[in-house]
Amino acid sequence: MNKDKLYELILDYLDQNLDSSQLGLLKSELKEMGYDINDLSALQKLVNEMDNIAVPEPSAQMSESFYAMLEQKGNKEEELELIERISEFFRSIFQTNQFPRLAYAIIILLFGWAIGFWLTPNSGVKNQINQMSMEMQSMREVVMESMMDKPLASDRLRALQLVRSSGKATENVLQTVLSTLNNDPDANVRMAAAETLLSFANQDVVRTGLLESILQQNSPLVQLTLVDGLVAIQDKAAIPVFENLISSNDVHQAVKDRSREGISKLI
Amino acid sequence: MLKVKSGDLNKLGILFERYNRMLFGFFYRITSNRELSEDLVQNLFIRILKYRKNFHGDGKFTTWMYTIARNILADHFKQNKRKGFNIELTEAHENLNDNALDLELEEDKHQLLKKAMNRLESEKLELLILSRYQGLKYREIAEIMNSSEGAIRVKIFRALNDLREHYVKLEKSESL
Repeated sequence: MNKDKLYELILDYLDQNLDSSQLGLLKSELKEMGYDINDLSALQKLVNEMDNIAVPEPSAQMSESFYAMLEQKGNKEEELELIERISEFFRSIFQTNQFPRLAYAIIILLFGWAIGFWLTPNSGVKNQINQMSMEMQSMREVVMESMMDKPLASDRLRALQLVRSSGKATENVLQTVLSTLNNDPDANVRMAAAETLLSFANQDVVRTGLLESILQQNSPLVQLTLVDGLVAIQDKAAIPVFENLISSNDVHQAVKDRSREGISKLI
Repeated sequence: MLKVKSGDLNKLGILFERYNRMLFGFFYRITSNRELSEDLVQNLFIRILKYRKNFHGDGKFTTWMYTIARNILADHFKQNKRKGFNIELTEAHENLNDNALDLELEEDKHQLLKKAMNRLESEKLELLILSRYQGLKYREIAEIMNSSEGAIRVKIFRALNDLREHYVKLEKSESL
């Protein structure tokens, strides 16, 4: 029997794990070596005694400390993982050929940002422009109103030209032009006022003003201008006004004829 | 353990519940100090977390765990700069006599046997604890101690003989 096998049998004997044939084998082997199986019995008692030595239970504190540690490590681990990922990202950039690409991308980004910054006017400048535009508009109104009050018809015509060319008119301006249309002593000025107002015909106040004005006019030229204008903007509300012109005795025949044509176009 | 390795740290709780008593027993039988043993168990699980990437899963987890446990013990005694592992153990167990609670619970024979165990060389004591109390197979102990199964059997047998000798001597001196 080899040495390994002998020790295996001895330890199994101490653990009481031998069957009868193995026990017989061990006994004969020990006898050959000049020992007796009883020499092992003292050792077996010792092993049994050892097995009876108990240890106390660990305290609850051990478990609490462990779970506190686990929670702390878990949080730290998450932080470290994030840092690890970031550093891994940068490491991969620096270690591979991607670094020059990234550098170019950053330079282009900064360049683009700088161009955008120079080309885009900032909000302060925009506000200043808006304010200046409003100031110019109000100045134009003041100039226009003062020109409308001038005795020369040419000045008043220039004022109306100013309103038309600006393309913008406040309600005050429009009311002034309407007043000119109805009250100006010069028929040419009134005709110019009618043409000016027709360019702002998208506003209700203008259309209503034009319709009311036709019957007040004593100049057939002004009336013809207004009839033509109302037909051009396809204002169907003009039909009853045209009918009034046709039935009126004071209206020039040319105006009546143009009104009939107008009605046939609007219907 | 493989789940712990892959980052699921909460699974360490399952391992703790399964092995904490066993590990506490291992440390307590060597140090005879409850507080220290609990600290060592804690240290062991910290090391498992720290070195979890080194666990490859090709061997048993318990084998890996007891390898770490032995290293922790060795580090502990090294750090404390004691006169030697064996002497410290003897001192620790001699202190048992001061522990009234233990004295009440344990028989004289057990006290004598514990003293005898503490006179063993550190490796022999560990071998007896691993084989008798921790329920490890000789093959597993051989793996932990980086030795062959046959050599481990011989060493355990010799450790038992030495223990017997110490025990008999102590018995005689106590009876005088």
